[in-house]
Amino acid sequence: MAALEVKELTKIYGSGESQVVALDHVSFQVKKGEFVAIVGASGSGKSTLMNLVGGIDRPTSGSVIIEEKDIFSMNESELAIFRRRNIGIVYQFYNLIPNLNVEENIMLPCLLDHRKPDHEKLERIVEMTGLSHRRKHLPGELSGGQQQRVSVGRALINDPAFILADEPTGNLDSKAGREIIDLLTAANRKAKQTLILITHDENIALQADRILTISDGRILRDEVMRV
Amino acid sequence: MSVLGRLALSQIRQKKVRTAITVSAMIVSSALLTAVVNIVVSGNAMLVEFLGEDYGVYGGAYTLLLLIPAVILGMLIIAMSVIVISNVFRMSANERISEFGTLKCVGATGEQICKTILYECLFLCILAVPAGVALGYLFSFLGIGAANGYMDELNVLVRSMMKHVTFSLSFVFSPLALFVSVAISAGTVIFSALLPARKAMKVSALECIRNSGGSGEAVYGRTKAKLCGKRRIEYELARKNMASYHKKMKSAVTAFSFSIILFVTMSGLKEIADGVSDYISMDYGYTVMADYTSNFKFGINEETGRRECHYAQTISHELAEKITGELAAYEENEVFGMGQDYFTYVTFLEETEITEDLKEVLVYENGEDRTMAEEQSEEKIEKKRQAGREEDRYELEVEIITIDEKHYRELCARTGAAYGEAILVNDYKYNDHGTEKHILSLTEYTSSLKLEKADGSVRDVEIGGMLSGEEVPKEFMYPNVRPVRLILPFEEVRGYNWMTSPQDEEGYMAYAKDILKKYFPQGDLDYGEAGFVCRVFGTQDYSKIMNIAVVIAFFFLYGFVLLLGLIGILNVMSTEMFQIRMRAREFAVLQSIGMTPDELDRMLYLESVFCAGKALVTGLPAGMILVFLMKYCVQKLLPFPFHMPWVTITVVILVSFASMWGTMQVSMYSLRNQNLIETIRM
Repeated sequence: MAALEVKELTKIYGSGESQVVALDHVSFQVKKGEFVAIVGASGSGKSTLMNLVGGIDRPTSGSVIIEEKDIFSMNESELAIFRRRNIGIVYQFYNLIPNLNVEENIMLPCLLDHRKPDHEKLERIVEMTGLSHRRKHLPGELSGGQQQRVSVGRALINDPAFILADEPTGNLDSKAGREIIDLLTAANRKAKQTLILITHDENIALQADRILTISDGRILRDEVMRV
Repeated sequence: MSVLGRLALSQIRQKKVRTAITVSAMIVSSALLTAVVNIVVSGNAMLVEFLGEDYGVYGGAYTLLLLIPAVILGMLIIAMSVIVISNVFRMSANERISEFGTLKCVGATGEQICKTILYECLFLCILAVPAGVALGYLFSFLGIGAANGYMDELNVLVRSMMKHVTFSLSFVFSPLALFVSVAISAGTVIFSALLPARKAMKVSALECIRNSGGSGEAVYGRTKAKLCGKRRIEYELARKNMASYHKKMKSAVTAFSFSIILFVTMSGLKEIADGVSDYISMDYGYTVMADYTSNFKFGINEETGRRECHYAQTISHELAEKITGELAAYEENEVFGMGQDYFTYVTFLEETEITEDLKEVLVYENGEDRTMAEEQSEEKIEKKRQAGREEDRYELEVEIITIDEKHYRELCARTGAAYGEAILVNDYKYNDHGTEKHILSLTEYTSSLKLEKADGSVRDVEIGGMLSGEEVPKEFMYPNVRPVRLILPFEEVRGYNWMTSPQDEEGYMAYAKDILKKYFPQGDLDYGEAGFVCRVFGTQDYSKIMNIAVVIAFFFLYGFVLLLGLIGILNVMSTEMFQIRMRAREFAVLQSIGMTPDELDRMLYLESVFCAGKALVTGLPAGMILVFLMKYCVQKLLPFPFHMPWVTITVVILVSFASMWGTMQVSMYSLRNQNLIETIRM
């Protein structure tokens, strides 16, 4: 069964002569537990695709179906609740809340869902991200790699169906980048979490089960690397 | 134009809302400063016309009277303006920190960074200061016009009581005042911008660059507030944010608290003024009062060493009676004549002769040490010993009251006193922590009193009758009384009042003035020179004058406080809007990880509630304490009724929350139009 189904997804910015087609009738499916890398040149539409799949932007036409639900049939509030329960997002620039410490940033999606944080799970994630000794630090007191690990921890705390990662290593050195990819692939392999990752880095893409290549808003290639 | 000037100009063009708020704050601040300068100039013109070029004998006092409030008001306005305007420029500098970093990296010096902020200030000054000064002139013109409406009424009233007095406050244009207004306004604004500008020039290029991207756009302090999921997340986040942004919101909260203090204090002051005005307005059931008061001075009796009072020109019972008769001849009015002498006699009484209530009151009013004769100065004790007196007695001041023949006879009939005998008014009122209370001062068995003068001579007075409690006529309920009050029919006293309610008030007042002039020709001499003063006035005129004076004073004070409050609110608005704009990315991230728009709104509303609450928590008690202290001081003198200005306090609370909430709404509205993804990528 497909965990994610993208149907005829189109996103057009602007109108008239300044119209830009960022995504042009894109369709694909992702199976549960699959690791899909999306690659493409700058401006090819991969981030637009990720934002639409993550429900933080709305398409011009088409639909995104996650667990048999068309996410765009939901209103803003329903979509936000759906997002915090089902999708974990990792951005290139970490996007942590600057006045919350490591633990609080990780717990945030859980707290937003008005649930008491599971301390064992928090402990596990903090351990996994290697931030045990920095749990009370604020983002401003961490290195880029450490901030991104917090961001991954935050994406994993709610056991989401999906992890969407938008160039998570783009702002890191190779060692820190490797650590982040290891964390994400570990979640994918051990917890069978579906991982959709946008990257420029061919070596990272080659670790995926499938590589989608996007160009000018269309899927150029859909290669299965391993079954 | 230099590149720094162009950068400043582009900043002004880009940040339209902030520019509008800054210009508004500058305009209001300049307008207020100009209005203060103008009112001082106009007030000075009034005093010069009233008192002469150098304000006459009391020149120094009048100069202070004019300058002290002006300087205090000016300082308040400047302090508030500096808090607000420097806050706006600090926010502008923070927003441009990455721009400064880039400028520094390509070789700009600290001075150049400082200059670019000052250029921004100067561009805004060119628009705001002339507009503010013009508005200030308009305020002064309108304010002085409005005050003059009351002045005319005041002059009519004052002239009925005193001579040669005309108050007129007219708008005076002075080029020097214009120059001073522009200089103070521009100086305040430039100084306000200079503070953050100098700070910005000291920030290193590296720091500017480091703070320009990523999630560490600012250094946040650790806070005690924790996210633990025990309460709703919006509440916990709002609380945490308030603690984290404490420093950034400090100026807004301070300015807000400052405005709250001013409003509450002003309203308290108004309550006090109204209370005092009510207390001192004399309502004995008569509409017109004519009076005669002799000048006096205290000295020390050489023989006894006791304080004695010398009256310049007392009024005898016969003369007072004659005037009563002449005044009563007009329309055949009923005239109540009454005179007092407070300082001639004292009486020494045994502990058993005075009531327990009086003992307590004397202790309360003076402290026991000073009421007991035995514990007075050693010199006095020695003198008393020589006079052979016992020492465990109370020395009480005696108030001699003499009233017109007709009413004296009535009182004799009522109390059973024989004609010519003294009547004891056994009623003492005192100020019990601000409340007026009445007690019996002497026991009901008191039948005689020994009255003693400062020279040691003693006079025995047999008491024929007594008035106490409800029996005391309202005419005897004046504010200033002594513990022992005696009505003696044929006394010479310091002053005398003739109270009546004529049908033709104007006619009677002119008639009474002529009568008094006939018996007490004053010529052009003043009170000090003639040794006495005579007045004829409506009994409500005092309170009317007081009310008008209060209205004029509060008209200006409220105007200033309202505008200062407006500057404070503008500051809150600009800070809050700036904060929300700066936090746009944080909000976008919160939404991207699943915070619903409603939850975000709730979090921000809670923040606005906390922020207003914080300003109220400091401002309200401070304002109320100030009011209480003022009330406490004034009630030491007058037992007037006072209520905390609860209506104003409620309005202040509502306005505080409403302005915070409104600003949050406006700021959030601009955020709603932002694209979540674009904001996250910022």
